[in-house]
Amino acid sequence: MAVHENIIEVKNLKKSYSEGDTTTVALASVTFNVRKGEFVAIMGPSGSGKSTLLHVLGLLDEPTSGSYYFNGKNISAYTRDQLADLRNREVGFVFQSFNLLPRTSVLENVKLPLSYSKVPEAEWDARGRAAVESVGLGHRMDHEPSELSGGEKQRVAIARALVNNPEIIFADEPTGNLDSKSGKNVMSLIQKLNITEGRTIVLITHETATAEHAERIIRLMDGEIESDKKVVNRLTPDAEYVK
Amino acid sequence: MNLKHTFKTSMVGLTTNRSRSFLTILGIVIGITAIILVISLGGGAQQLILGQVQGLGTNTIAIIPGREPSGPSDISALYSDSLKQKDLVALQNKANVPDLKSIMPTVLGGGTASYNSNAYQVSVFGATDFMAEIFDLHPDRGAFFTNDDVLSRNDVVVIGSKVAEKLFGNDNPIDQKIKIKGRNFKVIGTLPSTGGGSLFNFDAMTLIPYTTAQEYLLGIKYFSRIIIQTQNDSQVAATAVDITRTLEESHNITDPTKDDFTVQTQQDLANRLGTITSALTWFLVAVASIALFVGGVGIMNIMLVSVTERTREIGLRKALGATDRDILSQFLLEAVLLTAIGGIVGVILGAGLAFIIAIGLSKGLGVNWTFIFPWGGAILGLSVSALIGLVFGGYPAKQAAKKSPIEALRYE
Repeated sequence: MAVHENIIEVKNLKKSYSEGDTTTVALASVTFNVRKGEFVAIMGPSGSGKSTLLHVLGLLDEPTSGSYYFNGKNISAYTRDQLADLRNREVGFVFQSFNLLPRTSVLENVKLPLSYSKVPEAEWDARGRAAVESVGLGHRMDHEPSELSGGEKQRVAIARALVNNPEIIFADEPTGNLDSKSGKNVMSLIQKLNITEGRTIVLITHETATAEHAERIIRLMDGEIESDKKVVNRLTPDAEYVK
Repeated sequence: MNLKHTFKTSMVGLTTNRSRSFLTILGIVIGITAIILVISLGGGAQQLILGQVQGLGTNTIAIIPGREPSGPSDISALYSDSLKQKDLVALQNKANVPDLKSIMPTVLGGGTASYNSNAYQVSVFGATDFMAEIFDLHPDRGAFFTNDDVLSRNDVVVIGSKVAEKLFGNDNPIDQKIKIKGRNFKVIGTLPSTGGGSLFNFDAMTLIPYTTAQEYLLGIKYFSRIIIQTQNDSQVAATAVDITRTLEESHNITDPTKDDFTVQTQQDLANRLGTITSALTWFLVAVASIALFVGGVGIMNIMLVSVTERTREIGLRKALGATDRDILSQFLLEAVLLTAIGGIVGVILGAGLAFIIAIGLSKGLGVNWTFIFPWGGAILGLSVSALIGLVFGGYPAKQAAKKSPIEALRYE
C-alpha cells in the first residue's frame, strides 16, 4: 500500500439525522485534511457538530454524503465487519466518560481490544502490561475502575487506546470529567504520545486551554468549519506529569 | 474473538448478576427436573409392571368373556357369561388345541368371611390346584388344595395374610372353620404377604376350588377367566389361534368381529400396559415441558433486559473492534450457558429425586422398584435446554448485535 501523507481526507462531508418529518443537519459540508503525526483540536459550541464529526472520523458513524478517505482507504466501500477491524487495528478512542468495564481489572480493561484483534493470545498479557506501564499505572494493574481516581481512569482508557498500537487516537472531551490537575496530567500524556511517539491525535474540546496543546485548532459552527488555524503559542507537556 | 474468550466474557456477564442468573435458570431447572423425574419414574413403573406380568410366565394365555366394545352402544359386550363348561371340554381336546399344557378355569366373587366374632370383606377366587403354579404361590402354613378337592367340590380354603390376620390375629388358622357367605370352609393353607405394590395382591383373598365356588357360593355356571399355559413360549401365538377357532366353533360364531370372548397372551398384556405407561409418561413430560417453555420466555425476558442495560458496553466493545458476530456470540453464549447450567442442575436434581423415590417405594411398599437413570431423558433434557437458550436467546442477541456503535455508546 502506498504511503499517504494524510491520514484523514474529508471532502464535502455531510451528516443529517431524520426523525419523522424533521431532519436535523449536524454537519452541513466539511472539507479538511489531517496529516500523519498531526495533533488537531476541534472546538465549537455544543450543537456545532464537533461530536458528530469525531464519530464519523472515528468510523463509529457513517456520513450521509461526501467522501472520507481514512489512511488512503475510501471507507464508504467498507462493510460493518471491515470497519470494526479498522477501528480495532488503526484507531484508538478516549471518551469523556472513560467507558471502562466495571468489576474488571485495569489490565483486563486494557487487553479488551486485543481480544477482538488477530494478535496471538500469548502476546496479550505482555502488551497489556506494557500499555498500563506506559501511562504510569503499573502499580494499579489489578485494581478495578471503582478503586481509581478520575485521572487514573482516563489514563487506563488511554492505555486501552494504545494497546493495539494505532496510528491515530480520537479523544472526545478527554478532560471533560476531570479536575484541572488531572486534566493537565491527561493532556500532557496525550501530547507526549504525539510528540515523542508521532501518533496522530484528533481531539475535541470546548476548553481553549486543552485545545492549545494541539498544533492546529479547527473551529466548527453550525456544522461548518468556521476557522482552521495553527496554534501560535502551543502549550508544552507539563514536565511534572510526564515520565 | 475466539470461543474461549467469548466464553470468559459471557461467564463474567453471568456472574456479575449472580442472583438474577440463578432466578432466571430456575424455570429451566424446574422444567428439566420434572421431565427427568417423570421419565425416570415412568421407566421404573413400566419395568415393575412388565416384570410382574412376565413373572406369570410368557407362555400363559388368558381367555376373557366378552370382547372389547366397538363403540358406546356395544358396551354390553364387556360383560358376558359366554365361557362355559363345554368350552373347557372343547379346549381340553388335544385335537383342538394340541400344544395346551394345562388349563384352569377361574371364577371371581366377593363376600364376608367370618370366624367367631371376627368378620372381614374378602375377594373369593375360585381356581384349580394349578393356581399355585401359575402365580408362584407357596403357602407359609398348611398346603394348597388338590385336584381331588376341585373334583369333589370340597369346602376348603387357602387364605391370604390379611384375611388370616383379621380373622385369627396371631392364632393358627389351619384346620379352623371359617364362614364365607354363610357356608363353612376348612382353612387348609395361608399365604405369605405379597405386598401392597404388587400387581396381583392375594393378601385380602380367599382361594377355593372353582367348582365349589360355582356350585355353592356364587350359583353360576360360567367362568370369569380361563387360563391356559402352553409347553413353551414359541407355541403361544399358534395356540391363541387354536383357542379362538375352537371357541368360535363351540359358540357357533362365523364372523370374528362378533366374538363373545377375548384371547389375551401375556405378551399382549405386557405390550398394552407398556403402551399405557409410556403414554402416561409422555403426557406428563408434555405437561412438564410447559414449565420449560415458561422458563425459556423468562430467559428471553432477562436477556432483553440485560442487552438494554449493557447497551453502552456493547457500544464500547464495537468501538474497540468487536464485530456484530462477536456481540451476537457473546449474548447467545450467555443465554445458552444459562439454560445449559439449568439443564445440568435439572438432570442431577431430577435423577436424584427419582433415586430417592425409588428407594422410598422399594422400602415403603416392599416392591422391587428399580431406579433407572434416564440416559435418553438426560440427553434430551440437555439438548432441549441448550436449544431453548439458542431460540430464546437468539432474538435478544440479534438485537444487541445490530446496534450501531455510536447509538449504543450514546445510550443513557
